[in-house]
Amino acid sequence: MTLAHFLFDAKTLFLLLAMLIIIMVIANGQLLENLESDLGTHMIAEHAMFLSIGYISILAFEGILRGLFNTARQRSAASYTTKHSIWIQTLLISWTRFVRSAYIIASNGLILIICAIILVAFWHIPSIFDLSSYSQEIHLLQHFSFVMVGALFLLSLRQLGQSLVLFLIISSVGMMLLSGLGLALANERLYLPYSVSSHNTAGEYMLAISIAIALIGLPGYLIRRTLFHVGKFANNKSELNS
Amino acid sequence: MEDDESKTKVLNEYDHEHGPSPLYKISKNLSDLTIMFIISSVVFFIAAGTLAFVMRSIQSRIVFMTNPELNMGLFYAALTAHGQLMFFGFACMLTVGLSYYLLSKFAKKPLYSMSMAVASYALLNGGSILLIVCALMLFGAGWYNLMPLAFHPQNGGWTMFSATLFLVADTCIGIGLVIFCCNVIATVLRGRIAAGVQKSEPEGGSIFRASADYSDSGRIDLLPMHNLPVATRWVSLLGISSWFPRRYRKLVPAVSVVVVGIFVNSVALLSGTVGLFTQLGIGYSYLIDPQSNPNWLFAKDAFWFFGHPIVYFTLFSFLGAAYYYIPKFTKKTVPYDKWAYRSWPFYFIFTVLVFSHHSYMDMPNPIIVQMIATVASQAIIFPSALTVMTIMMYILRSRIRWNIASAFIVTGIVGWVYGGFAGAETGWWGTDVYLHNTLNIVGHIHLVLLMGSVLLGIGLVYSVIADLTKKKLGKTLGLIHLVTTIVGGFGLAFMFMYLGLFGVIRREAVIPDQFMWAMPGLLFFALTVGFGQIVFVYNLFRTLRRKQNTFEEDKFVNKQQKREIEEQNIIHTGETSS
Repeated sequence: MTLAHFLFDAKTLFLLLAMLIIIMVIANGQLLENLESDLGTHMIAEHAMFLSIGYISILAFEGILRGLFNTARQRSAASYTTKHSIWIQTLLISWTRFVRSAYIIASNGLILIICAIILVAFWHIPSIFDLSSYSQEIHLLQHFSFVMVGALFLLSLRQLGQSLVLFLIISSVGMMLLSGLGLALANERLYLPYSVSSHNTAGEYMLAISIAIALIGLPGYLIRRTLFHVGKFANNKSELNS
Repeated sequence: MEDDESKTKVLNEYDHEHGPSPLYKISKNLSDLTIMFIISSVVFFIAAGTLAFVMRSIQSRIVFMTNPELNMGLFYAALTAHGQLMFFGFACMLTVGLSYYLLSKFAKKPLYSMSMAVASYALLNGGSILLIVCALMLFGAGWYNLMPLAFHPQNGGWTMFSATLFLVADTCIGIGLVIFCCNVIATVLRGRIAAGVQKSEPEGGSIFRASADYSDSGRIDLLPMHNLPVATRWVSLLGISSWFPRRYRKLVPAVSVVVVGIFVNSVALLSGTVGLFTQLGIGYSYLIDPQSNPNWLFAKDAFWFFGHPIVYFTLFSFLGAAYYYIPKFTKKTVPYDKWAYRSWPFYFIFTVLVFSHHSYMDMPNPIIVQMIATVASQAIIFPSALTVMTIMMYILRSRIRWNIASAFIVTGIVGWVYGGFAGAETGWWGTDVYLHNTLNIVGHIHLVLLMGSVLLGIGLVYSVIADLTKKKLGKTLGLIHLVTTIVGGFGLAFMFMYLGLFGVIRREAVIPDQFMWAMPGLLFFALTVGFGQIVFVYNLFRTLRRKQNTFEEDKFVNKQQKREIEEQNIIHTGETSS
């Protein structure tokens, strides 16, 4: 049994982990510093990267946990116990307890999403944003918060379902259009480290991204999900006919 | 036997002069609320119309107040309140009321919350009454509440209190509209909904059958209730499924096109209201701290982010209903028609994106915003043309049953088309530079609204009142209403457009001498429209107060139609009625 099989039970999780590593590398590299020199690219980079890291982290950790569980189950079925497997079983039990209690605390998806929105809004308050730009420690804390936001989004999406995804897509389009317009029209600096023209460019990026989401993202998601249901429906129908 | 009876009942629906409505019975509370919405809307219609008359009179140099400055102030107060009252007090009120009725009828389910419906009614009324109070206080910063003008009184002056009251009025209206949108979205997305009309899509090339038949499975009454998965439901509700290949289209249960119209309307407006609240927020923040230096251009753009969707808001629900009512008036059974659904995803996307064509003249706006507006303004022609073509195909070679309701609905489509031509013209950034501040734009909005969505709405009122109360509005008075509205409305709108092409500036109390010749004409057409509406109000209240008669269908079928039915009987039975 290879290490990969020991840790993971699906090939896709390899991909997710690889993406996570790549994003981490980019996040810590010179590239991010360059991106942060402009408000637009800074926001796009930070939102996209750290939210994805948070999102993927949950998926990856779940994959690892599932892999460990499967291995432990196989070993106990084969009555193959070593000091190593006993250690893993103890680890799994305590981890399961931790996860269970975490889920009990965060059983309401609505609370999770509200926490995520509050966190995002907090770091976008101009004075807080400026502070994070000047202090390295606070900047790191901001990045960590965005990772948390990504994780919270995933957890809340699972609990609240597809309606929430659609609501988030549509409301994000509306909010991005309007706040993008606000930045595009800004005639004074909102975030002090950046110039007015940088604000305007960031607004134009936001306008373009929101339109892309409205024209491509939303219909794409809806069609994909519908075809999934339609496919299931068609399969059931053919099974019934046969 | 029972089956035959129900089929006959369904078939008889086609012979109602007021147009067939689904058999699903809405609750008594909703029925009463719909009537209250209609009554409130016509009351505000008359109030807003009176303000139009005041404007026309002042422009014709009729003096209301001896102080010339106050006379000017009255013009701008009337200009402001006329726009907002027509939009919110009349058109939105009517749209909200009829949308509740249509939604419940065509989704075959009660509303998510009657309390929310009542709250939206109360807030819309409260806001509209405050608007009238503001007009009486001579508040005149334009119907789009142009900031910071609102806080810098002109023409004899309004008070800061009236400016604050205006913000409160708009807040009430905004909240009322948000409640409406949430109620509609919750009604449609929760629980089961009537769907499955796509199963009636004809296999062959013949899309529309010439007359009603028993297998009209496109009828809402024959649709089963479905519990659709979320994404599938959204795809169906936004009309996206109509663009699927036939194989997949057949598998996605399609809801009624009327529900699609109302849903698209609500979701688009909900996005738009963010703009209204942003503008109001900026206004309130300035009131609290006058030393603050808000970005007023952003406030204006934010208003139009809401201002354009609100124009479409008064149209979409009625347009959705027109897809159902017109084929029924033309006695064509319409099974699933993909073309009726195909325009809706485009309406949904472009109704918000076109907003910044209202601020083409504000040069500091970024080029990208103006480009998006130009592209979206031209792009929205596609779904609009699709709608017009589809409706024309329903009317083509049909034996349309001309009555007051159908005449109003068809005229509404015609008015909207003319208004759309003008809109396409001014939707070009380059053309708009020349026409933006002229009466041409006023002509465009009167064609789109007064002769478009308002006529569609009034046509539906003639049909809905008959369904709700089992009492028909008087035919002669209805005819007078129709003729005066068409003559006055088109006359007014086309004259505005003509004058605009010659550069007559809009929003001006004083008209240059060389164009004074047009003022008596404008006043005449305004009075003609006003007379028609007074006749309508009299007809409506007289009908509502009248004791309920038995609904004798024969009474409403004219001689020609009677002859047609007899001819059909001869064909079917081979015997003469004698």
